[in-house]
Amino acid sequence: MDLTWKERLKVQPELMSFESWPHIEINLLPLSKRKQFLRNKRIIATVIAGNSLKIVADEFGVSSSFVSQMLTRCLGGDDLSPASLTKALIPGTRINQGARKEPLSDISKPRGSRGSLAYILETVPNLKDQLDAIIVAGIKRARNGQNLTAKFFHKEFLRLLRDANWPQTSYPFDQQCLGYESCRLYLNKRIADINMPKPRKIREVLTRKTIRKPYQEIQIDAQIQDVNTHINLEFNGHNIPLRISRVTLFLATDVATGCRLAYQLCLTKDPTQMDLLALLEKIHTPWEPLKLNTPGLTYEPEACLPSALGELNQNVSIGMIRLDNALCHMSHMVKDYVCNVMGATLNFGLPAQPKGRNDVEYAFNLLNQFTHRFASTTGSSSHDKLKETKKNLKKPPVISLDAFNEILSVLITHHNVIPQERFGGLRPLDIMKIGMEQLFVPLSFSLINKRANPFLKQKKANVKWLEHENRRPHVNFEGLRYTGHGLNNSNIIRREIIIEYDTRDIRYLKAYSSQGDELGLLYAPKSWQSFPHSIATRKRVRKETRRYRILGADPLAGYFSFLMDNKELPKYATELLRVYKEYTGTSYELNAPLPPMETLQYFNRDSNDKGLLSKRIPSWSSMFTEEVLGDD
Amino acid sequence: MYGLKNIKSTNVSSNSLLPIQQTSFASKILRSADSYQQRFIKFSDIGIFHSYSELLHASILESDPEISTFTPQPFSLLIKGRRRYVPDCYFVKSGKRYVVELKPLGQFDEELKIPLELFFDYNDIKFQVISNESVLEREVFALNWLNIVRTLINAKLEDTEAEEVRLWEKFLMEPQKTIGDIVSIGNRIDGRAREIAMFRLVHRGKLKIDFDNREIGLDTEVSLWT
Repeated sequence: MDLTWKERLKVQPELMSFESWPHIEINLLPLSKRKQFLRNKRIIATVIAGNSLKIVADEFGVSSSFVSQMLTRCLGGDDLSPASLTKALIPGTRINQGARKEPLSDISKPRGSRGSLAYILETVPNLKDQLDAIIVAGIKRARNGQNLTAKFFHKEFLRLLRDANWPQTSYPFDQQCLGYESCRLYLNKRIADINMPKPRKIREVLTRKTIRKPYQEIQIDAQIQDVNTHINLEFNGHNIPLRISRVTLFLATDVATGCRLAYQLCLTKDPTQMDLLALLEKIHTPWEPLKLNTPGLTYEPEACLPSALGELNQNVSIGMIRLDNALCHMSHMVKDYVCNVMGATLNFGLPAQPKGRNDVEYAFNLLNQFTHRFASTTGSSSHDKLKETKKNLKKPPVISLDAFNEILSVLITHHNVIPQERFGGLRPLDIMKIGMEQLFVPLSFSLINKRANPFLKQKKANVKWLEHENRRPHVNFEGLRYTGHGLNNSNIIRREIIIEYDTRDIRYLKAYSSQGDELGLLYAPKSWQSFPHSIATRKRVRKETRRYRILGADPLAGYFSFLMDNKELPKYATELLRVYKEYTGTSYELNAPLPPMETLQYFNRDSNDKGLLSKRIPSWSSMFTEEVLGDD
Repeated sequence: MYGLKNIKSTNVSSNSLLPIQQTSFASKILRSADSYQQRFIKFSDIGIFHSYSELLHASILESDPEISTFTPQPFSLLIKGRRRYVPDCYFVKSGKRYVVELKPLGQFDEELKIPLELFFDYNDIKFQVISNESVLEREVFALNWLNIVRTLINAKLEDTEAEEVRLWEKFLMEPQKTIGDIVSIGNRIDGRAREIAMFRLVHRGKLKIDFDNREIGLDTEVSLWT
């Protein structure tokens, strides 16, 4: 409903005081309008102070109708929209867009065309939508879009009008240019409106409840360490220092207590889900201090990881595990272990929003202050002082991998015994002890009797039998045929069975029928039996052997030999160390003693000679025989 | 878009109304949204929840003994043959079926809501829109229930049938106790059967636990469900 200026003042009596009207800085107006604007202000201020229109008009030398018109501009208008107020006092300012009130121009009765296009767009059904669809299709380069020009847009406008049976005697058909200019302005305005950046939708930030109980939320992240290290390989009686590539550190922190729960140093730049599973297992495994060999390095008194505190810490139930969305975190094995075995909630957070895991990110920040004392592998440029120089790059770094591991162990455990202000001077381990003793922290009772092995997996496999080739029945697993006495059974041929395997050692599988009956062990071919190896290693061996054709009779030996040949490259030196630890069964224990390489003497270049190799390599490794066949 | 007057229940279609968690877009949404994955007791798989509110809502559903089962992201529907729509949750309460959509401030597009209501009503399912805020108001309650759910999932191999009967008889004699009376805090591992039995009775609706506004603790009251 339209209000008059008097009605507006009744509805909003606060406007009776000119002081309450918005102030417009006169300096911002053009010089030519300032005089009239000031006069208008004085007129309105005098009128709303309670003086009669006529007296005010006489005083300022204007007509009463002018004063009335001015008041209507300032205070009149729709009751739902705010009044124009001071803005209307600027001479020549257009207050309303002005909807057309009089009929459109016609051949029989020509009139001005102001507001005619807006009137048509409102009146003709769907016309505005159709024109907008043309513009949007053009802007988005849709298949049916056309290059937008005023000329053809105008023609589309006329076509749509004719389709809508618009009278040919009315606007725009009575105009000389058929409303071309209005169409052109409309097109440009709509293009600008559509292309205008939209305000970003602000995500609602919800405050999270403060977590008080230990283990209710843990944060895990991995970071490549910006420091190069070396290892000493003892080979043929010589101690060979080798530069190895950067390693990755996995760290788990507890939010409520600030304790570092576990860490895992991975001998690769690209950790896998196995490394993350090893870290998760360490949270519940009793921590033991390393035997420190680095001179001057000692543990702080009472410094440890919480898993060393007692039975409760080794059987505690974890609430939520927050990770980022790295590929290895999203693996099915991780999901299965966290949700089904640990019963915890898995959260990957929002992409590129590390502040959701600020505790663990801050933990890395603290660690980096120490690790960045060494020449860094990164840097803003090739001349950055932080970066390792080219001269030093040619030699193995001073710090060894074992020393680096020991430093990390000391730093991480040390953090747990540093008094913190946020806990009123108590240490994170104290808070952890108090929480576990006094608060009703949920326990994971599945961990008490049988500790779940995160590396143990089951899957279904089909039993195949190539009887025409006179072969034994087998199942395919990771690119190889596994055979065993349990498969020599006509009831299970070409049927599904269940195989169980440890992802860290896939030389053999345990087989069960679909009814759950044990079928015994299935073995990989003899050429893959010499050493324990994981799925990841087998995949790498198969990839490298395809690439360099180094398969030979013993692919594991061939791969090791290949790595030995290329050990000068940091990437291969790291892989050599990883493979060596895996072959010796210590892959997830970085501080395990490294036996001299002579024990693997038969890994030499002659390993491609099948006849020679078959004599040198025993059918079963001693470790395998003890582990698997020892009970027989 | 189409006008409200043209909306019919036939605007919505689905191949099946068998509630199965829709995971075809899961890997994408796990990376693009603040998603949560958690196993529950009344849902047989690992549930994928697309927001914190959805996780809490599932936990609240788990607390209600009248709710027999629920399924997150249960159906894949097509609205007007074009727009794909997956509701947030489906549950069965006292034999009646419900489909729930969680939205900030409970604001849901009317052009979607009306045909969905008509479609579900035609299939004897009640469609509800719940505000995230109403779920977050019960955050403490939901988090406490999440702890119970985790404990019960971890204890699925523990046999506590005899302990449940014993505990139930004790409550018949003394209908109100605190958790501290039931659980021996100094010996929780050996006395775990009692703790698991208590949570199982609470989950089945035999016992009532009072922790709406505070974290579960030793002084939390447990009583017979009346």
